[in-house]
Amino acid sequence: MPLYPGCQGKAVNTLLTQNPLIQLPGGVRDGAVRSFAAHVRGGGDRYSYYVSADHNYEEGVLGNNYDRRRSLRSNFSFAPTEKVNLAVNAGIVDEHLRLPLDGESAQGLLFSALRATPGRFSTLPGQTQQGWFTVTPDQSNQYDNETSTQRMILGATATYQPFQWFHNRLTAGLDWTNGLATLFAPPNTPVLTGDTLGLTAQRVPRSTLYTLDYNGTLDYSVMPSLVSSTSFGSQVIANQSQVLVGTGRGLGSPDVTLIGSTTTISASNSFSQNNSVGYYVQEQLGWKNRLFGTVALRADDNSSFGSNFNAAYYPKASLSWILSEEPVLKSVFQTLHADNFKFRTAWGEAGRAPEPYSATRTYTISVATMGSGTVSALRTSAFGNPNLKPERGRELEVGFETDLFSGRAGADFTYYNKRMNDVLVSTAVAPSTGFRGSQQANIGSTSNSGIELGLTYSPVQLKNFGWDGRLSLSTNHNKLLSFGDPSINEIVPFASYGSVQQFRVGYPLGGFWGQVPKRNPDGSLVLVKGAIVWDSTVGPAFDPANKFIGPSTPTRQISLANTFTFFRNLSLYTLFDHQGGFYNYRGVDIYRCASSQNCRQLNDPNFPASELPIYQAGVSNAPHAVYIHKADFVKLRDVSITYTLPASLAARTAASAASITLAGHNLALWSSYPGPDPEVNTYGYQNAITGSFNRGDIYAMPMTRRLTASLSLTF
Amino acid sequence: MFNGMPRRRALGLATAALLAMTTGACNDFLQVKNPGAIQEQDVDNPAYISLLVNGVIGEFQPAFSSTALYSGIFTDELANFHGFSENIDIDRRAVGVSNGTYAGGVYTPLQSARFMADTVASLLRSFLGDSAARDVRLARSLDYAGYAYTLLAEQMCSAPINGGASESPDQLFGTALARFNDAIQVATAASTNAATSAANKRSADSLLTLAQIGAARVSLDLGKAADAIGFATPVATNPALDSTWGFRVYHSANTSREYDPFYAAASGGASAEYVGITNTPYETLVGDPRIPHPTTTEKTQQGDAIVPNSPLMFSTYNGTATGADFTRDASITFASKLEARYILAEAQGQNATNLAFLNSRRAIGGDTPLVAPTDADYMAALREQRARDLYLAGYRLGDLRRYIRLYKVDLFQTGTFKSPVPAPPTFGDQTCWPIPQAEYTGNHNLPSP
Repeated sequence: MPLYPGCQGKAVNTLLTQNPLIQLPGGVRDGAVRSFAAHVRGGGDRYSYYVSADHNYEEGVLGNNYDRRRSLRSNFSFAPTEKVNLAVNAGIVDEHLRLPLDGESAQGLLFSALRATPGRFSTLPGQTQQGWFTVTPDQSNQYDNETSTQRMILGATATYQPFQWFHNRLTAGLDWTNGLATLFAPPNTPVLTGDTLGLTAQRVPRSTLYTLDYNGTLDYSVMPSLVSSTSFGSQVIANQSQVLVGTGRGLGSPDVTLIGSTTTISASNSFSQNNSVGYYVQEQLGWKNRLFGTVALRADDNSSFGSNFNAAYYPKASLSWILSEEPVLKSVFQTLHADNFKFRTAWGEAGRAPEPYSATRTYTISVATMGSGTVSALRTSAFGNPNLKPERGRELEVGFETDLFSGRAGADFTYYNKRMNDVLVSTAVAPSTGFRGSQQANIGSTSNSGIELGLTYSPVQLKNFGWDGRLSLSTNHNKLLSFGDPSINEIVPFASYGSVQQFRVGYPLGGFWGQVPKRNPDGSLVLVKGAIVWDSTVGPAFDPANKFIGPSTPTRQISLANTFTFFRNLSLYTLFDHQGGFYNYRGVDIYRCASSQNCRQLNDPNFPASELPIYQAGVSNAPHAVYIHKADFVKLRDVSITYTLPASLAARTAASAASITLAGHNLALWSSYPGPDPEVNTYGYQNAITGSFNRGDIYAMPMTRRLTASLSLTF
Repeated sequence: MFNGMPRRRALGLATAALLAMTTGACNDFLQVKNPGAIQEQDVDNPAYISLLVNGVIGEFQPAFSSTALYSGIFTDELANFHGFSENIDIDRRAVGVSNGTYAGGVYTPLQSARFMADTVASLLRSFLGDSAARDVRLARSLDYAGYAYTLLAEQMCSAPINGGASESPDQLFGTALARFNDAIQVATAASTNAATSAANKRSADSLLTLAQIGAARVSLDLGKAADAIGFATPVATNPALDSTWGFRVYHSANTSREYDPFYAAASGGASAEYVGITNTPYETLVGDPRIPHPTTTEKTQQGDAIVPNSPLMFSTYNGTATGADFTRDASITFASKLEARYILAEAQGQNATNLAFLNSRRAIGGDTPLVAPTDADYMAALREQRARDLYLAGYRLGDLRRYIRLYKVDLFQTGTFKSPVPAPPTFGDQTCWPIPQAEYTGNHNLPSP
């Protein structure tokens, strides 16, 4: 067999392109989606109930990926007397998930496809299919990682109103999760496990969350037009999780999968506990049912705080005013065709506790090897930070909401400005301390501001045609205001891949920064020894100072949803979504160029040779800025057509109502981003304020297109 | 609605009940369990002495072996056949501060080993009082501290200690020498103490030898030939020590932390090999069992290459030209009588005894004896034989740096860089590892790179 079968008969300088996932057998598939749901609701004078059951099954586009989820939820409330109400809710979720190897795993199919060269055999031994870099689809699908999770949620709420002016509410909750994850690789699958022994492993996570919440409210009329409402309460939260892991290597047979039957057994477990207590008191005054003012104070304490901390206090205040009800302003709002115009503003502080155990410096038990065998040994563990404080956020909100043109339109506007102090950031521990990894620290201040605008409209409402819509617009601009501690370096890189994402004072949190190639006055690249390298005697061939590229999170989002109704029974729904003002790091292209040489730039004979050194540079010397791209996009998120059957037709099926819906999701994308989906993030989507918001497009699966048909019956 | 007095009474009662219900139990409630950790203050306990001393060894073992592997790739001992760009940059000697592979494989484990050894030595002095000065456990901790500092000095361009400012290699060598001198005193006292058991006396003697070799190594690196000779001579001329005597780091197949990393790198079964001697000076070397390798190429993670087998300093060495695969539990000698002999031969220069030693080593590889060589030829041949005898045992980078510094001889690979995957066409010019980004981020005493 020729070494490069894909090159047979091709002329020199012919650019071969291939998408193995689509063009080669076994790549991606059309996954099936099935969903069933049933809901029952009822009740009497003193009781009510609600029961729902759902069954969802969804296959991923990779052959060894599916998710089956079943759930049963119920609510029951009972009022034995006028003063007492009891409510119980229960939910059970049973999920079975099989996940493929994804992301940066060399045994993942995306990795294998993105790093492949057309016609070239895999780098793994014994491969007979060309076009893949590591594993083939058959081999990848042998990876069997299944997780079965049962979750139970129980809640009980008792309200007691001994007097008309005194309300009490006590809520207790339990959220219990139990899982079993199994990983199995049969013997003689070295491409998955690195050896021929075979592997079987189990992971058993279990978590419990207990909550207890009491609230008391005292109502009082100070005068006929002024009403007071005083609330106080307490919250107690206890969270505990543990994981038990067992692994066995060396399976005698693929049929015997018990860990105890393997030749090498290892086990481990982990435990985490986190408790918190909070108290609050709140006073609300209402004047003529038009003007409402509230002040409150909350105190929190958490087990993750260090010994140098006691409790955190958070005040808040708010004001809302229905201006259109004010007699002197009524005519103004009538002129503006505005109803129910409410002005509102709020100011408050809130906090976030550190991660469990993050305050204390600890050691743990590891191993050492003596000539006589393995012995227990002490090892450094968490560096800890005993001075941790809560992350405090102070937010001001101002806005209004109103109906317009007798309900034909509506507007909802909010401006917010949030300042975070003592921001909790996971930052690297200096290895010279003898400890490894990261620690949490309260680092400086950040700001976060923007607007949220929602416009609803119903411009056309005819007998046989209706048009309803909603336009949502929001902006968000965050930046680091200071590090607080002047001894802290100006830059705190935290991304998995070097320093393409950084914290810098005056710039967006986790913004993208990159080194750019140096250029001569004529535009040609500055090279050192013929390449883009760092040479201590000559200097770098790129600007060593990182250049700010842009934010890593969207700074504006616009969505436009419209529903068109024809002849009352047929409706068309569309949702367009835009996110913009941000960038994504197409890190996978560095590895395609630097490690696999299969990127277009290095292979396209029409690509300017003078620019090649950029893409021939190794990762460490790469001018990363060229891999950071504007990620603005417009997506057609949803299109659906729903036909509601006439009541007479529905009645033939014994239903009181019936409808059929055909829907498509993620149907179209408009973007200049060079990857398949600018929205992907290898590291998942995380809170942009926590400091753990790595973003990168590195072997990430793009969002998939989905087509569904559904039938809804109401009895 | 109600009037003022009853409302205030109700509020007061409710608040009091709420506080009574929750405040009293609050402190206990916020004290949570952490069964996976020992609080730092609890470690200051003599009951932990064995665990602490084991911890010194447990930190040094993976640090040493991983450093030996990655410095082998950084120098001319090994070439990279891994697709990961950070490994390519290491092979090319163009390592950026954000390179996490060397940070996790060299810098961080060496710092952990150094910290643990220093910490335990300090705790032992506190626990044992006056008797510490003759305790083999203290001697052992000091020895390992000395070697951790030595490797930091040989490997790093500079390195901070305990979050401080950066220290030069000479400063680090100085600290290493201080640790070795302390170890020599303590081991000598333990060995000569009448109350010391026979087993502990054997340990003390072994630890004394280890400290002497370490002190000789550091003295040689610092260019203090006379001191190096003074420390190495008692070892090299000790008739009680077998010519193959060495002090080892042990490995085990029991847990991944105990694996010899050379197993995954060069004997990783069907798919994982990622180093070779293709594209190194040893590519064409045949017949020397100290750098054993098959004559045919093997499939690596990136193309085919000649992959080395277990050399002389490994317990899996079998003395054949082809050699034996590395294993997960292969131990590595990091200080030996042979090394002491080499230190003497380099520090003393050419004389009849040293030339005879050199020719005896040449004979192993099938090289003819040198007859009346020039001093330059003698030193060149000595460097070559040392490279083969101590192959993959963590010496090469320190040696290459010393050759430049003391003899103006640059043996780092230069010119065209050959790589199985696309890479810049020439070698970089680094001769040591830079301080990694994590240190800059977490150490406020370091200016930004």
